Amino acid sequence: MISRERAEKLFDHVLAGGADFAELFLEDREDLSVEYSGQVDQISRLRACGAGLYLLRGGKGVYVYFNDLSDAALYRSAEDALTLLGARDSGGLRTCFHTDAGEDPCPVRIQPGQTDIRKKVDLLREADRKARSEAFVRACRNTWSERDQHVHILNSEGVDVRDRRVTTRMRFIPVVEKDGESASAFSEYCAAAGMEAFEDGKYLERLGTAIFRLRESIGAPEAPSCRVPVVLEAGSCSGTFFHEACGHQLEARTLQEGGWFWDRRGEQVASPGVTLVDDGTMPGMYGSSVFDDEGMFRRKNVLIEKGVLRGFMADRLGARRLGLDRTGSGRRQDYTHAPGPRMSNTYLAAGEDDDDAMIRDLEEGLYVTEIGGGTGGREFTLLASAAYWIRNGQIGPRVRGAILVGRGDETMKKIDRVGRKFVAEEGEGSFCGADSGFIATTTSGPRMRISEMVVGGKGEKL
Amino acid sequence: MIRMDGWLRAMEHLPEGVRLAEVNAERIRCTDLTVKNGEAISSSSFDQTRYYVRAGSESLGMVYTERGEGEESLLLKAASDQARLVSGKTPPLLRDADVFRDMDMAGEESIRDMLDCGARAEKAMEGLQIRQLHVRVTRRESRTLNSRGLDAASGRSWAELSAVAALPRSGMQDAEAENGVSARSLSGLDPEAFGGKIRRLCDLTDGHGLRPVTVPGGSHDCVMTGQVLRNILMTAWRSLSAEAMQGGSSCFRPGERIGSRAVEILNAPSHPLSGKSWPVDSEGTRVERTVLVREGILREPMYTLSSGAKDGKESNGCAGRIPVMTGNVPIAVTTVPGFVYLRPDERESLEGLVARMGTGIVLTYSLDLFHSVNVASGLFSVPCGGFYVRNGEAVGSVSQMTVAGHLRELFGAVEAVADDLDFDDFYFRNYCVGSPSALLRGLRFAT
Repeated sequence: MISRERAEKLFDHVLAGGADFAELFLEDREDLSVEYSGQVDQISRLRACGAGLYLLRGGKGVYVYFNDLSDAALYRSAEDALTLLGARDSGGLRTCFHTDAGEDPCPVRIQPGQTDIRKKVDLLREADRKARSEAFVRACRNTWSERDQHVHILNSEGVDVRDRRVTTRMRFIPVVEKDGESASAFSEYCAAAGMEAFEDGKYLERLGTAIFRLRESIGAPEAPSCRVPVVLEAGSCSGTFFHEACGHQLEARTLQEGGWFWDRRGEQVASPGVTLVDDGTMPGMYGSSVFDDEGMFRRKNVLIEKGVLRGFMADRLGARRLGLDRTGSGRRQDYTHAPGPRMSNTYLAAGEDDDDAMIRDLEEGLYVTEIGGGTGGREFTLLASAAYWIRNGQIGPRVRGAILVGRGDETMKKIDRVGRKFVAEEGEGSFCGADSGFIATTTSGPRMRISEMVVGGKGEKL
Repeated sequence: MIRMDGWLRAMEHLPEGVRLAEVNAERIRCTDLTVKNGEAISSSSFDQTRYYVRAGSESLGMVYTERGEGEESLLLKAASDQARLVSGKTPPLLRDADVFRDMDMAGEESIRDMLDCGARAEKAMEGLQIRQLHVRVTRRESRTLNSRGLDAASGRSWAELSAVAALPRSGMQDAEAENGVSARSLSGLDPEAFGGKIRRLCDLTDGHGLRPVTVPGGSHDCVMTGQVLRNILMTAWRSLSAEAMQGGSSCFRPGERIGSRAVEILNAPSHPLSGKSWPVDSEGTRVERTVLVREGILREPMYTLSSGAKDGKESNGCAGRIPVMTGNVPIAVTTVPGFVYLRPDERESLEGLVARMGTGIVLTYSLDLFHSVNVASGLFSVPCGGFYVRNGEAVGSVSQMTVAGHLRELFGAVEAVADDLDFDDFYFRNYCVGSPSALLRGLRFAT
């Protein structure tokens, strides 16, 4: 799209104009989406092709993006960026380009872009058949999505790297009707892989689980409003807790805005059983890639170790402003977003507590097996989309409509059990939305328990 | 106006195998400054044109592109998969021939003026911790052509100020608030008034610096400030879409009572309190001011051409492409409002509602806009906080609580609404949601 030579000239121009760092993020992306509900309803194709120019000077940053890649448009955008940067004297010096390449943590065996669309329709048909064979399913709408994103990142420090991210995804929206009541919710099977991710039929298991949970929710009592111990199941549940309770708070952007964790490195911020990691290199995981979106190799970052705050997640600008090291966490949805510090595959490391005993020991509490989303901040929330009431050490009836609320800094200290069996969130990645757009993430961990949380629901005491 | 000469020709001479076609182009130019100490510490700028192409015969396939050329091949690409694989049970819908222009753009704004605006707002917020302060100018043009002769073009520009700020509290959590204002141009913004508004909102968050108190869970009367009700409406509006009703994903039906007589919900292309405007929708329909809910009765849902046709109704201009949070570029036409809002009552004020409540909770903030309301079941459980009022006197701040119920109970509990209508735009800035404060009786709280 833009050659090394053109980039070099452009960098010379903007560095002479006052920037001390310049980066070009080039993207060429193709998406395909097929909607199916007993028949193919809709096919949509997308081609997005554009570039973002990122200029820094000290702690100031400017991002301009464009999809006209002619020299005229490129230099017009560069002038706009320099005007916004407000610098007039000469800035940084460029070094020679060097090309890096690393082992792709998510190799693709069967490229979806080279696979006949009829194969994807077959997968959708199979999912539809599976859904309609389940009891009480009234309708099901499934959507196939694939993405093939080529990125090319060049910067004035000499970085010249390319990365290709291929993902495939099937979204299920079954409608279940039972006893005059209906329930519907979406769930997804996601893979940082090609067509091979759908060969073993696990996506059908995922659909089956989603239908089971919907069926189970019909007629279930509403969760009561209360403060009780909460057990979060291994896998995405415990990981999502940390994503919302403290993950966003540990991103450089929040820290710059006066975040509570700045600077508490070395302090006990969670129970001693908590070791929290963000790792963009995990093989096959939805949040992995060779490079971050600033051309840095992804890496494993230990955020909390045995309850003690160890580190943060920083992009280039955040690192400059806070005096931190970059952590391979500069990410963005696409070329229309400036990079920002973001999570990737966040997980709670396995602990030493008995997984079963943490339920058996409770007189009463809430056992959450699926989290449907949440928000981060000093106060955070989690939607318990599948949860059960614990009574006398036994998992009791399914409850619905529970939402968990807490303050991260307080709740992380109330974690009184961390289980031994680690479960990675495979095939269940999701999108996380923030200033630099929607990015693929996963959350994993063992089962864990919080001694007390506010549970919001509209039901009476069970 | 977006130049589309090649597309005009392509619509007149469709390639073989394509019977119907439409292209909706949207060009957005935007400059956004993050201002700190009178300087732009971060900024972004873009000029992007997006083309949404629909083409086919028995049904319409879709292609999204950011390059305007190659019209014929794009039309064929959209039509070909669709023709191969779709059985064509859904009749394709396009607007009939109509040519109109609705361009109303202000002059270009300078960076210097934007910085000056930001600096004035900063000054007006002196003493607050300003976590984010943005000055943004946007120029949006849209043009929709189709093979039936439609050529609908519109253009608007606006300027915005938005901030997240906190009032430091000694020994307590800072009182944080977030708000934004917009006008047709920078000169229409009042940075001093905006700064004052942010300060008042921060101060209101914890009841003017009250110490935390514990309120027992259960049924309480409450006053929801505009921000809290707006956050609920940010998701709940989808229950007023005909498309959701037809697809079984709305808890409401036309003609149904969904709230008290105090509840009136409208959708409009613009509003005097905002500089933004969406006069024409993605299918080329002029957006009409529509009373969706009058005196608590759902009178008319939001319609696109397709959902309108299913109910034997005209579109009321609610066709768009990005209704919810998504990581994809949404291509399909779906229901999206313009300005959807709860109508204020000029005779009431927030203070008056609090006094009338007597004892209860004033909710000043809520969290999790997008997971806390299920529009299909109508159930909501909203994390929130504010302060507690006993016999008309504010006695302490409350946090980490939730209010839960069914949307019908929520709207049904509205006893009165105030005059303080305020708008916020959706994450993707393609529509606005607004609400004044309201007094609600007997909602269920978890604390």
